[in-house]
Amino acid sequence: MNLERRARQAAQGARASVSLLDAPPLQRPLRSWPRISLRLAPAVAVLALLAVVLVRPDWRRGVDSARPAVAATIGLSGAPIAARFDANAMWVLTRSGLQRIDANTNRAGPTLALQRPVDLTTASGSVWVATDAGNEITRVSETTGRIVSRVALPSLAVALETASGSVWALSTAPARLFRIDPTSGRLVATIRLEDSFSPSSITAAFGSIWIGGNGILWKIDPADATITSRIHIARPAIRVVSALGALWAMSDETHPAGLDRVDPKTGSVMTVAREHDVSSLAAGGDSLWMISLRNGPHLARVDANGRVTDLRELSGSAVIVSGGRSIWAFFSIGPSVKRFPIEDLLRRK
Amino acid sequence: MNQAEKLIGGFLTGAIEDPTGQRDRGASFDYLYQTEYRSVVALAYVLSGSRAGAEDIAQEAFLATHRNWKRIVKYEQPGAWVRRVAANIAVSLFRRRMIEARALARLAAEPARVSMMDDQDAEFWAAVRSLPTRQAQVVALHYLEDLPVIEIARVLDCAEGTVKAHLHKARRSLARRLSLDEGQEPE
Repeated sequence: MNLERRARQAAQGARASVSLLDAPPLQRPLRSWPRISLRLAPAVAVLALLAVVLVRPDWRRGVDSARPAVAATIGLSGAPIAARFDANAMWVLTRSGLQRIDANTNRAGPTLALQRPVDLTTASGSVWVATDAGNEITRVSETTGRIVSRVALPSLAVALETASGSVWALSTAPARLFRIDPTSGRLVATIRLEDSFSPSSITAAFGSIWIGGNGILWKIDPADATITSRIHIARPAIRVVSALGALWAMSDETHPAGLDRVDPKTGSVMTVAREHDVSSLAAGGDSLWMISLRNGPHLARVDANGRVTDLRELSGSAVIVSGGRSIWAFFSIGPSVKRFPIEDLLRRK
Repeated sequence: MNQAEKLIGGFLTGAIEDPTGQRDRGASFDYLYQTEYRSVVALAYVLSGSRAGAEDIAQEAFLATHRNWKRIVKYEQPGAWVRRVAANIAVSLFRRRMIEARALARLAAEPARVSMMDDQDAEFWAAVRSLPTRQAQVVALHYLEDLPVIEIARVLDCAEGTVKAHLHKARRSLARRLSLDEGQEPE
């Protein structure tokens, strides 16, 4: 069949799938705060403080709340896209660019404007950012916050990882893994993955690089950039993390129930926490953390056997990232990030 | 403006071609929302692959439009702006995950309103999503929205030559991947 005909048919199918939809009421945001006269401002502030103290009794009796405390809520310059912790800072890619949050002060710095950022990693004192503005990776100095150089790649990178002193860039079309030497900023190796494979995640763990995608978890030896094994998993792995001596893979929205626990030595796969709809995953503080949607969005802890403890209800769905002995929950509505100290989370068993 | 341009303009703008003649901001935003909602959901669906998340992506795009309406209403084609936002949200992995998570939470109570496509159509759009994001956006706008190169360039805020190059590469990749005859390059 001709591509043109197939494309037109597929377009017809897509239009038919929404043909019965009517536009629901738009979930409009609340109106902005009314402007208060400067003369009334002190009185309003005192009343607001009184109201907070009366409504939140836990503030009067100390910090012993029934749920883990939020150490900080930090506003972001745009909706978050990806984040990574390094050099005592959380580096956040937003739709506006790259932002640094100081882990000591919980303050977000100015945004370095970047066009269409996709993912980031850190290596050799720099933040490496993939954008879909071109087939290149932008290197930003962690010290100055300025762009240092750019690395050209043969195709677009959609995910980045650091392992064995190299930066690794994952490309989906064609399916390739690129190895970049962070010192010279040069592409030093290209690993070809099967063309039918749609990679969607990359993780460094247990001395290997792991690439998740549709039905396969690829294991790659970073020493010589060779594929050492393929582990078959039933569901697409959109995020893989290592914790508690295993790899844990969450799937996409068509297979949200549970986590696939993969033994990195034997390659055996077991699905756990089946009763939970998992929407985000992070490893930190010798624990595995996830967002479960079973009873509305909850931050939860998973033990080595896949048992889940709900810790805290969240105001909306979030993507979690660990770093600085904290779990950071990123919210696109706001947009903002909440920081939960792991020590505090571990106390709530 | 000739008839073809007018049709394209009407398709993309809504607000500008409001048949009621209303030009005030609130009314024209509502008109844009009502007339463009379905096609923005379809665009979000094919680019994200998420039946559950497509409506949330469209809602987020319209919300962003609403927030910036004072500025956007002055644009020649407000509909192009909504599509750009929806197309960008739909291809961003991180945001898509968050939107899907929200949608999943809601779906526990109510089923997805977007119907499923048949397997062949779903396979085609899955192949489109495996392309680099810009190529995927160009293909979706070209085939789904039936937009010519000049309009796609306007939606994605890039040069016509860039759109042509993306479309050419995307068609070649899709034909190879789906074992199809590439056929003639569209105008």
